[in-house]
Amino acid sequence: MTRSATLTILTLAVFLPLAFMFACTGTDTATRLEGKAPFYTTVDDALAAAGEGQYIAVEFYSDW
Amino acid sequence: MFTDTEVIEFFTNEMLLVKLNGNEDTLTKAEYRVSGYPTTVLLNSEGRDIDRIIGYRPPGEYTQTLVDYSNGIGTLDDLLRRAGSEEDRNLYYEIAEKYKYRSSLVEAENWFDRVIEAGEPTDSLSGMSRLGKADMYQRAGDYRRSLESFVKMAEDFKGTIYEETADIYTAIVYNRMEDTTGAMAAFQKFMEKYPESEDAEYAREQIERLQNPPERVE
Repeated sequence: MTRSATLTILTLAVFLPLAFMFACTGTDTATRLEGKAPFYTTVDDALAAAGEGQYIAVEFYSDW
Repeated sequence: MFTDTEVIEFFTNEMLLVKLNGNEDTLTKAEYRVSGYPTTVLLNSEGRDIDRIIGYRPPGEYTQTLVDYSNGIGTLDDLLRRAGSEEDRNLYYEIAEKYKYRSSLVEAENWFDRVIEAGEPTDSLSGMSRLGKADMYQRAGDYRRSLESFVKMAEDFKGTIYEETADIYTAIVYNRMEDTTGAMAAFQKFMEKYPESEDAEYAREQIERLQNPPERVE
């Protein structure tokens, strides 16, 4: 095996799992608390996680 | 609301939920032109503003309204389409309210005026529309105009529930303006005028709070 082929395999071995992990977890940043509906804390996160045709309810609340 | 079993299931399987503190995330609040709490804005997956729910609703009604909106039922677009073929003051009023809560003041005012023009000037729907307009001005921070509208309304609707409502709102607007003297006088007048009103206790509490304001934390 040539040196460049070894490097390619090593690079793929390192980056593919990382890319897979990002794909799995990067978009699902919903907060999940026991006994409460799962929610996102930014509209952008929810838009990134939304599937095609999925709707997003944005609740504005006040703690005053 | 968000601890209800059906609501948890709904936001686990049907729709995504975003919770934002409007006092902290003021940019997003301004972007979606939110003027009160709680407000739920429904977006599609491209981020388009579909419609909104104002205030608290029972859990089942809340999720059903979201489903209806997602199916295009009861949305502003739906009501506007219906208004093109139906002459219905209730429908006009609903449209005006929707514009009001989107802070689209010119459109809201036009539709409230349409309700008033299509009926008697002091009937129930005209009263609700006058209240809607005056409330809209105070939400937009135009307290002077709001105050004038509520005072005029109390005169025009003497002896009706709308006079009482306009009177309590007059006091509330003074309070929002931080005009303590005006607010105390208006709440006092309300208590004396409507001792049996369900808002009399609220007026009494407000007077107490204005007399003994809570200390500000620096």
